Amino acid sequence: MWKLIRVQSLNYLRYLIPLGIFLIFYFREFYQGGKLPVFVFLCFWAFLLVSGSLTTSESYEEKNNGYEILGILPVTNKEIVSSKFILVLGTVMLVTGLNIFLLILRTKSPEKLNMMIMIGLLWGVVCLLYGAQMYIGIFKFGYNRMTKYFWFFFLIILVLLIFFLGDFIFPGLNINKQAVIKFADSRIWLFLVPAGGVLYCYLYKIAVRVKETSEEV
Amino acid sequence: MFIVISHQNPAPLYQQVTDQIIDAITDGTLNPDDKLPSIREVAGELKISEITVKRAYADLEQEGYIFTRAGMGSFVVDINKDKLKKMKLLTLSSELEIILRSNEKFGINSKDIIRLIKELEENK
Amino acid sequence: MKYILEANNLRKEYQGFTLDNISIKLVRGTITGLIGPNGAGKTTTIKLIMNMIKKNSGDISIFGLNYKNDEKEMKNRIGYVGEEQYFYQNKTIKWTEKFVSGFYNNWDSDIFSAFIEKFQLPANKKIKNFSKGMKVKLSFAVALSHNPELLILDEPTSGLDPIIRREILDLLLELKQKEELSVFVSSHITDDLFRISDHISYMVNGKIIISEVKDELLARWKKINYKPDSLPEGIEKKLMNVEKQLFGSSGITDKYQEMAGSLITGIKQGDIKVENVGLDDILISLVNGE
Repeated sequence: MWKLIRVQSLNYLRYLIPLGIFLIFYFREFYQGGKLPVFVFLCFWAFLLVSGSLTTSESYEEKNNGYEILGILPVTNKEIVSSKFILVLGTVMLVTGLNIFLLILRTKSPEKLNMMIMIGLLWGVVCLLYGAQMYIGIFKFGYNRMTKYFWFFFLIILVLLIFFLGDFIFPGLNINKQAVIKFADSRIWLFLVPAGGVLYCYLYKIAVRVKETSEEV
Repeated sequence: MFIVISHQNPAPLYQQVTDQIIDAITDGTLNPDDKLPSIREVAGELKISEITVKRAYADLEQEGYIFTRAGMGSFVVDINKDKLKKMKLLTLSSELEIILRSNEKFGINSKDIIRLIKELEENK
Repeated sequence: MKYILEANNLRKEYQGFTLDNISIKLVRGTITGLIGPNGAGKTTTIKLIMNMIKKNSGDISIFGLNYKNDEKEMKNRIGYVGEEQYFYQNKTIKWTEKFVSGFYNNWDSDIFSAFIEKFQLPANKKIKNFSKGMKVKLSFAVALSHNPELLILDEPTSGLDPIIRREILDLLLELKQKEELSVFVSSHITDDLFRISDHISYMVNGKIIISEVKDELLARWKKINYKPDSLPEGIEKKLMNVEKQLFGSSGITDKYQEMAGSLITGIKQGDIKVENVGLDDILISLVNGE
């Protein structure tokens, strides 16, 4: 299984490197007084990274019939699914950690920091669950059919992003700024992070079952 | 007429045709002046090429078993039965030679073989 | 344990095709050929045996193990070459060996190198530039380098030129000398199976119709050429694929030993001529008989 993770992480990294360079460039721009709040951009970036590296990796497997190759080798479906889920988890943790680190660097006021950490973490959970459901979809319907739905998910993510963070992007809009700040203060969200983790494990189990019974090899 | 083309037979296809037509002439299935089926017909029935049959007919004609009239087809020559028998004996002789030589190593000689043949005839 | 592979009542339903409760028993140390026309279900059968697709019902036991509990161990002891050879396209043989070998407990790098050398495959060329024949050879090298006990081959020679085909067949014949290796091979190229198999199974329309030792099969099946009316009573009715022609009739029988006695007079008189049949003649009779 670790072998699988190692080989596939190369595919993930391939996508991470150019985006990382991209990020540094933009981050400098924002840090020097850009208008768009950094964390909104960071969230978007996190999503792009997770979804992009997942898609790159899977399109590579699809192009090379990677699952057919694995079908011959002594490796179980459970190990295949585990390697994917660990990779997503690793990427999300890396990106979220980096995000929060950058936010702490950038933000001076402690109230804002609390909210930003919340948004950073919850966004990580969103990315994690997005990755999980993508894999379930790929195992169930195959990569090609799943990519057709990509834009659909992209749209959902965009709506979520605007709903929660719209006020920070467009300060005049006032959608639910107060509610978000209140929610951040209430600390209920702290439970949402482990809850997301539990849901992720549950989705992992579903993914294993789907992989074991699906015909998309 | 009974013709079997066998791909397991090492003899070339045209020769298999020639041999079996000669057999038919020898055993009286085909009589003098009988018309042979056309080349196309033979090729079609036996699922072999017309060129093969053409070659077989040419050989038969050259060896004097059949003759061809333009536009009418090929016919059996009124061939001397003794001559046919002589031809058959010639083939038989070479077959017998193989039997004789291949059995020498077992200590079987011509006398043994002649005795066997006589026994077979009596048992008939 | 006599059988290295036992599959019982395997069933797989697709839209418009059903693999219908087939059973397969593979005797240890033998080569079993699975013959059938395209679309008969050969690849489906093999993919079921490899656990690449899921069965609707039935059970598969290989080395006395089953996929539910021991998939890893089983795959460690199976070598597989498919109809299509999948490799990471822009990688080299060197990389591929490194990748594949990590999964096996008992990968033998020396065997692999020996095959690569024997097949004259370029170690540092990208696989996407390989010909079909080279990919098949690489597949065999991969399938044989972990000392498998069971080799499963799905149409390994289809799409190959006669020279490479012969090379592959010679390799299989060579492997056959090693008695510990068992092979299950599917093909629609009957000549290939004729050369290498000990045991033959015929598959038509998702069913296994015949499964028999090759020599017995060929002793049983004969083509009978006969002069019209020269056959003893009732024999003609028992023949399959009867063709009546100007120059005699012919038919195929699968019970030659039973009727040989009654044909002997005709054979002596030259009115009946018996020929061996090829595996494809049998296949055609079976398909027509369906």
